[in-house]
This record gives sequence, C-alpha cells and structure tokens, in this order.
Amino acid sequence: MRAVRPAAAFWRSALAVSVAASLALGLHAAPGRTAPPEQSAQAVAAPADVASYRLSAVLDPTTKQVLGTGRMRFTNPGERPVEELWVRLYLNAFRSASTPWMREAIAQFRGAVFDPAAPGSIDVTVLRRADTGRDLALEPMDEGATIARVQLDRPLDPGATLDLDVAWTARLPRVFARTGFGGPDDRFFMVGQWYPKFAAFDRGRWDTEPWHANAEFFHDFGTYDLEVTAPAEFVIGASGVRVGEDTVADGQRTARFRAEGVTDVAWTAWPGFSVVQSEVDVGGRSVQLEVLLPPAEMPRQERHVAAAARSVQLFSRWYGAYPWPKLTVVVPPPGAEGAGGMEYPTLVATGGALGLPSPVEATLRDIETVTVHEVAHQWFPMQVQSNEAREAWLDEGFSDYLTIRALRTLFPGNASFLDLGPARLDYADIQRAAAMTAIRQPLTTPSWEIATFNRYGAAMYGKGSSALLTLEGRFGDEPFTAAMRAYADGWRWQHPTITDFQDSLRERLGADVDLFFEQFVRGTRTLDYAVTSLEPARATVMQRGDGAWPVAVALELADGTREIRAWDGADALTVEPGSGGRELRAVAIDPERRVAIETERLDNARTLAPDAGPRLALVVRWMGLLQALLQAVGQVG
Amino acid sequence: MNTFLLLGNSAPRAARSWPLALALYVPSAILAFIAGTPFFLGLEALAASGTLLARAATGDVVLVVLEVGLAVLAAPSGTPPAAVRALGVGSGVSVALLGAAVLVQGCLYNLVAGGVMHSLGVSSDARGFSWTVARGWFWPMLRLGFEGVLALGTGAAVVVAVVAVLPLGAWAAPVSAVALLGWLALGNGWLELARAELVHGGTRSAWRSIGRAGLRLVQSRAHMGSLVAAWLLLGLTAVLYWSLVGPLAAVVPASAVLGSALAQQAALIGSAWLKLLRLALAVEVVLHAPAGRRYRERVRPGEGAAVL
Ligand SMILES: [Zn+2]
Repeated sequence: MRAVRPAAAFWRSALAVSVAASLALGLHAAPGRTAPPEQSAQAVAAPADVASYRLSAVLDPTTKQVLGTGRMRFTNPGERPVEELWVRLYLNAFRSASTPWMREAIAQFRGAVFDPAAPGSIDVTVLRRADTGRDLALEPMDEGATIARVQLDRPLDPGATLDLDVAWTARLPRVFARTGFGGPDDRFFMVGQWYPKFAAFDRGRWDTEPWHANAEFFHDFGTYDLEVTAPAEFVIGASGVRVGEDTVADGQRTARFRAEGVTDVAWTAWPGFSVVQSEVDVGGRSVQLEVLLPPAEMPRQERHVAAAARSVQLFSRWYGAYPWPKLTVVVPPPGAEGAGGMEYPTLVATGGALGLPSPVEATLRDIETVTVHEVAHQWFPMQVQSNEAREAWLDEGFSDYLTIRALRTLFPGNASFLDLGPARLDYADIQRAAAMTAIRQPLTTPSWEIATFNRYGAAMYGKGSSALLTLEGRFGDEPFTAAMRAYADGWRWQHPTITDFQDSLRERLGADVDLFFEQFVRGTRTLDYAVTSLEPARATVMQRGDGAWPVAVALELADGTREIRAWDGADALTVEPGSGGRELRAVAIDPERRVAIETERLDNARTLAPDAGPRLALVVRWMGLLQALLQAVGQVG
Repeated sequence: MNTFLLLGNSAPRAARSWPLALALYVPSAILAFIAGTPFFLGLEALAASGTLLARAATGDVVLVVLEVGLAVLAAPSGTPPAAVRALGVGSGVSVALLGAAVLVQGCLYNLVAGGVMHSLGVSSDARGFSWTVARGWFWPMLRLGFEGVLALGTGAAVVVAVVAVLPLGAWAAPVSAVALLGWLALGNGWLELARAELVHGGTRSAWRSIGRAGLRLVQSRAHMGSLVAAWLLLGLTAVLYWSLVGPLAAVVPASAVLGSALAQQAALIGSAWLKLLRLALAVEVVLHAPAGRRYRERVRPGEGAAVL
C-alpha cells in the first residue's frame, strides 16, 4: 500500500492510463465530461456539473503573477431562470492592509503577518459570452471587491448552460492566509483562490456573502481542466490527476491536470520539491498518493506518507470510499508555513515538523495531526459540500472529530497527540480544552460573526469536535459512525445545512438528537455534572450547568461490585445501593469520559476509601525530583 | 595520565571513604521530605475524588493538569473548587520551600565540603571526618560556593548567548542544550578542583584557588584532556542517575510505592557517591598529578598550609 516508486516509473504508468483522455480532451475543448467513461478521472459516481472550468495559468516567478485565461461554464441547477451571475474574486481581500477582510483579520492570519509590500489582487481583463461574443461587466458588490455581480443580457433557463471566456491577472501575495509565494528565494508558490470563480448557487439563490477573514469557502461541483506553465525547473503539483506528460518548450514547462466532481482546484510550483509516489488500497481500488516534500522533510517522508495513506483508508472505511483517483499532499518549505494546513479537493497543504529536538519530535504527532485533519476535509466538505463560511462546524468541527478518531486508532493509549513518557496527551483533550474557552458559542454562528480567529477556532474546531464526540459517547461508536456514514451518503455532492444534518441523525438515532442540538449546537447551554454528597447509604449527583444530557453514573459498592445507573443528567438524583445491607464506597459520573463538552470534571467522582497508592506515588516522585535538584543545585562545585 | 587512570586512582579513594557520601545525601533527603510534605497534604482532597490521581500517577499528568486548569476556568466568579485550591496552596508552599531548601542545602554542603576534602586527602590510616576541620573551612568554602555559582551562571548565560547568535537554524535548541550541559559539567569540575586547591594547595582565598585550578588545567594540556573527559563522563552518569528518579516512582499500587521509593533513594545515594567520586578526583589531581612548570613557579609548595 505504501510502496514508494521512483517518479519516472510512475509517470510512465500514469501516461498509460491517461493518454487517451488527454488526446480526447485537448485544451481547446470546452469543459464538461467529454472523456469516455472508462478513461474518466472519476472513480465513483460523480455529482452533476454546475460550475466547471477550463483554466490555463502561466506563472511568472519574478513578478509573482499568474496570467490566466480560460472558460467558465455555469449550468443553472435551479427551477427558475437565472438573470445574474455572482463571481468571487478572493485575492482582492489582500489588495492592501486596509481592505474589510484585513480589518477583520487585523492584518494577520493564524500568526502570519501580512506583508503590505507584497499584496495580492485579481484583475479580470476579459469576461465575454462564448456564444455571442458579447462582453459582460463585473460589478463589485462589497467594499473589498471580493464578490461581483454579472448582469446577464438574457435569462438562463433551468438546466441551460452558459460559457464565459475569461482572462485575468492574479497577483500573488507573500504567503498569507493559505495562498501566495515564499520559502527559499521566494520561489515557492501555493496558488489557491486564484481565479474568477462562480459563487455557490444553492436552493435557488446565489450565496452573496462577501468573503470574511474567518470564513472559508462554498462552491458548486464541476469538472476542471487545468494547464499550468512555469519555468522548466519547477516541480508542479495540482488538484486532480495529471493528463499526459509535461511538455517543455522555450524553457517553460507545461503540466496538465483534470479533476472531476470537485468544487475547486489549487496548484503549487517550486523547484525544490522531492516527489514521493505511492498507492493506497481503498477497498480493493488503488488511489495514487503523491507527496511533494521540501528537502528538510525528506528524513520524515515515511511519516508524511503514512499519515495520509492510513487516514485515507480509515475515512474510506468509516464514511465511504475516497471517490477520486488521486490525492496530492503538499508540504510547504520553511518560510512558507502560511500556505500549509489547508484543504482543496484532492489536494492538501500540510506542514513540516515543528523543529523540536528529535527525541521530542519523535513522540509528537505534529505532522500526523495536520495531515489527518486536512485529509478528513476530503470527506467534509469536499464531498459533502456544506457552506464552510456560514456553518463552519460542518467543516472544521467535523474534520477535527475525524482527526481525533483517526489519531486514536493510529496511536492508541491516550497518547494520540503526545507520547513522551509521563507527558502523554490525546488530541481530543486538546480540543476539549480549546472548547472550554468558547463553550457558550452556538455552533450555528456564521464565521464572520465571531470576532477573533482564536474564538472561531475554539468554537468551530474545539467545541465542534467535542460536541460530535459527546454524541458518539451517548449513542456508541458503531451506531454513531453508521449515522455519520448515512449522513455522508445521503448528502454527498450536495449542500446540506446543520438542519439537514440534524434531521439525518434523528432519523437514525432518535429524538435525543434534538435535545442535544437545541441546547448545545443552536443554544448556549453548558453541562457540569457533580457528585454533591456520598454516604454509605446514598449519594447525590447534580447538574450544575444550565443544560441536561443523559450520562452514566458508576457505583462501587463496599463489597467491590460495580453497577452502572442511567441518569438523564438534569437537576439532581439520589442513588441508593439497594436493599440487603449493601453500602456505597464510591460513585463516579461519566466514568469513561464520554461527555467531552462538560465544563468541569474534577467533581465528577467521590470515594469513601481513597486509594493511597497514587497519591504516595506522586509525592514520592515529587520528593525524588526535589532531592535530585537539591543534589545538583545545592552542591555546586 | 589518562582518564581511566585518573578515575582508577580516585575511585578507591572514594570507595574507602564511602560513608562521606552520606554527608552529601542525608541533608538532601531531609530537605526534600520537608519541601515535599505540603504537596502531599495538598493532594488529600483530590485523592477523595476517585481515580483522578491514579490517572496522574500512571502517565496522564498532562491530562490531569489540563482538567485542573479547566476547573479553574469554569469556576463561577473565579473561585476554583476546594480541591484545586488545596492543591494550589500545597504545591505553592512546596515550591517556596524548595527555594529555601536550596539555600540551606548550599550552606550545609559548604559546611561539610572542607571536612570531606580533607578526609579524602589524608592517608588511609587517618581518614576520619573531623567536624573541627570542616568548621575551619566553612567560610572559605561558602565564599567559593557563592562565587562559583555566580561564575557558573555568568558562563551559562554567555554560552546561551553565543549559541543564539550562531546561524544554526533548527539545530539551535539542541546545540544550546548540549553546550549548556557541557559547560555545567566542566565548570562544576573546575570548582571542585578549586575546593581541592583550597584544602590541599595551600591557600585560603576562594578566588586564588579558582585561579590556581584554572592555571593547573591550562599548564598541563594532556592532563586537561583526560580530566575534562572524566568530568563529562561523570556528568553524563549523574544525568542518567537523575533520569532514573522519576520513573522509579511510577509504580502505582500502594504496596509497590515503598519498593520504588527505596529504589529511588538508592539511586540518590548513588548520585551522592558520584559527587564524592568527583571530589576525590579533584583531590587526586591536586595531590598527585604533575602540574605545569609555571604552576609550580607561581604556587610554592607549602604556601598557606600552616593555617590549619
Ligand atoms: Zn480544517
């Protein structure tokens, strides 16, 4: 599954399977599924094309510009004629430090600072109907011109298709908020959000919300033919599968790619990449895995490859087979870290090791956590395309929940993030800790209504993943995974909302789902169970939060037997050991730590017969450390 | 003289005088017990809350610290639960006592150091430890200890600063750690040599003994190499010993705690003996290793020895 083959051999075999498709397509062909089915780049049933593109990009590494030409095709998926088109121009968010986007972000993004000397922008120079040759005007609809309206000269009927010829210049910023140039000699390029792109047309209307600093994306599915030209020494990687061999002429390399059933394409170019090819077996089907690594990460190539390959397999097993023929993993070089930690359909940008001393690094799953998280996005939202900006929980919360599960499977023993002797930590507990800083933030809040990225992260990633973990804890691993699978299967290639997700879960898991959503997804309720008293004859447990959620209460009797009692987790409950002279020794609420969104766990258990061992062991260790310190520091010289 | 010859000559000296290691060990044991007791008391309330401490003792320390932190975060009006307050007070007092214990330990060490050095240097038939001798050396030893700590600290700051300006990239942290450990092992050895110069080299001035120790090193290059190697070797051994101390206490059943505590104390006695071996090494060098010509010219035999 992880056989790493020399690149040359790979290209030969890739050529064999794709040569017919490349001949059939040609670059003059209009977008759309013109390849015969057996040569299709799509492995699994694909969605209907709504927004398809043929994009040609010429990279100028000196001016940091991409000259783009192409054709955009929109097929009206609605039931009424469409009189206007909405087009996103994302790069305009980086035009200066004073755009609305930048003001929201305070000119920084996840710790990366915007370089005003290297801004980004997109200028559309041609926008023309392919059928009539008539020029159309882009009318900016927000202050930052990240979204524009195109008034059509005649309405587009339901099911009808409109082709627009387009030309543009994309000026790439110094790597910032996922896209741009950077790295050694500023010759690394991660090119995302780089072309004029139809906004999503969902449930009969355009998504007209401007792009915001905390927001990600939302688009319709389609087919992409992409052609990237860069100086010959550049190694190029992109979404989709490579079509044919690169051609080199006049010192310029041109690589061609095709992606079907996707909502976007991104690409990267850098002379310094090493390419590691392998194949992943996904339920009897082989998926190509291409990992582009900077030299500094080559000693850790096994970790990068294994993290991607094994998570693709796990998610395929849990939520449906990876539907595309290939996955590309891009690890940005040092100095361009801001390009990492981002997902595009069939391509993820991850990150290198944190650069800690190697004995520590070997116990830290920094590479794995980022890689697995980005790979998880290939299911949510790349297949189940919810609105990432308006309902980020369905995107980031889902992805981190999947990450928690995968990391636990790959690195068991409560050490899925850190495994350094006595310092071990499960990734779920990191997310739980983050969640507590935004525990009253409804998960339905649009990303742009949350003031800071930190709070957005705490809510959508932290509380979002902890909420799903809490649901899993309530209904059980297998039933909940089956319910998630049913949701994915039911809404794959569509645009579900949180309400759709709720309906889907309720159908499988029952009415308790609504209880949870109303309190903790849409609402601001919190949970804090507590043991308030314990005597041999009875114990009292109480809900100190303003929410309620069923939980297990474990009783330990004086004779050593254990019992589990169910509690609805509301108000208070008195438990008694039962008749026949039985006595309580200890009581513990949620002994398996299933309610990940509970705010305080220290008061969840009480015992009448504390075990002296752990306390003594901790103190002996503490005293030993003090004594060693005294010997080392107090006896200098 | 090579490293192993040096160690081979010093080890029997340290072995013969093994009870002296107890003079280094016992104060650290008593002080650690005193400083650790508030932590033990502070854990009482948490111990009543079920399995939390068991998790901490079996490897989930970070998790338990995290949950304690979340309990503080969740506390209404900023008042953490009683168990957390007790733990906070207990560990706070424990850490404060540790600060005082380091100072007391330093004084006690300087109180016994002169006697230990003297005893290591005299011939085998008169190796008893004398409190009178020890008291006589207390003030010069204390001054040497004080000045030595200052010199070691300054040196450590210089080492870190130098490494910081070198273009090492990702290697900066490990190089810095190794350089710092190396400096501490060497600087410590130098000060031990100075203590030996003080007792056996004929001066009562702390600064002069530090200078003489340096001169002895510089003037005899071959000698310096083997001594430095011995110090590094012993430093490494000590680090190894200390790294045993934590894991030895990681056994949880109450019945096993006693055993692991004993093993831990055995390791700490071993590390005290390693310190004795380092001191014996310094005495060996001052008494028997050939010094350079300029050292012999600058330091006339018998100078200052009459003071005792
Ligand atoms: Zn994400």
